[in-house]
Amino acid sequence: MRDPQEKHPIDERFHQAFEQLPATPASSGWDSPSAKVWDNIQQEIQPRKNPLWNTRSWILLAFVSIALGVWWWNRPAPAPVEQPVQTPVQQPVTPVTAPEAAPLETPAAAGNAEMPTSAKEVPAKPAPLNKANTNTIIPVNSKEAESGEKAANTRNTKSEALPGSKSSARNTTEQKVGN
Amino acid sequence: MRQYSDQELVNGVLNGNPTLQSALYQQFSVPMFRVLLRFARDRAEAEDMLQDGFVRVFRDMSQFRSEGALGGWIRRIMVNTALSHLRKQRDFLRETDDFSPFENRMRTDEDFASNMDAETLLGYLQQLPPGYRTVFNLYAIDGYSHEEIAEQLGISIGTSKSQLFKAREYLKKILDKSFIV
Repeated sequence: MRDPQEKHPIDERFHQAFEQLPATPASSGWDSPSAKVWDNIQQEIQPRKNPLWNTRSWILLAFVSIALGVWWWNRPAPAPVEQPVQTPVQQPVTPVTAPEAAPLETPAAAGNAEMPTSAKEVPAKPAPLNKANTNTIIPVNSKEAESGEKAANTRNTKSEALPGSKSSARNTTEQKVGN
Repeated sequence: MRQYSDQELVNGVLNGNPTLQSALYQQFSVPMFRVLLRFARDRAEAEDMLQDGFVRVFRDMSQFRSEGALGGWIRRIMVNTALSHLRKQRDFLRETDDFSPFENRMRTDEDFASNMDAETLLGYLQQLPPGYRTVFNLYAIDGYSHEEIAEQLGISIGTSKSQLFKAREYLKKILDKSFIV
């Protein structure tokens, strides 16, 4: 690697001294590294099992948990919320006349006076299943329905003044609806 | 201790075999430690270099091509590790003029007490400033050329020659002192 003419006696002396050493380490131990070197190398080359959850991660997690706990323990108490006092109001009882019960008439009942009672009487080809057919249609008298709707509207929109209560402005929402 | 072949050691390390990892370390730790002691200022620094060097060896074993000897490849890694350690030092390649005037008369091998052992010479070498010691090691003992040293250390060829010259003078001064004592 280097020019032979540049050899120097000092170079030669050191070269011989260090390159012609015996293979076995010196008895004084000057050329033997301490055992801790190999221990450290082993630690470095061993595969790390889970670098995500090492000791540092656990310490950090514990610290965060403690900090959160201390904050939770020392947090300011929330101001008590005043509950509105509800006075019991006596509702006037209005007699409600129940409408006359109309006889239920189903189309099936109207058309067929007699229903088949046994499997033998069932027709061989039944009608196709239809949802509309399965629901029972209950005809309601139109007058009764109107009166019921009126009563409901009256109850919803107008309420009678309670005895001893003051008149107050109507709900604005209702006014808008009315307009 | 059983001696393993290079190929056995390489395969064992690549497979993560702890027995062969240990065998590789046992086989090469002493010769590599001797190399690193020359570059380090003391034993502790040499052990740091050895540890880093072997970690690199185990980590980069897949890059080893079986064309050359395993020992040569490991040695190159060790020298590179030593150089990277030394480059981190702030006073690396610092000029030191703390030695006596140059003497023209060259001493012979006999003058340098040929019976001096490597341990004694190592002690002298470690007294050199880091820059002198590094260039002297690379040139005189490891056989690098000035061009290679300049490239490795990121310095000019002139600086490499200058550092070698001063290293020789420094060693001569130290050896003269030791003879007087």
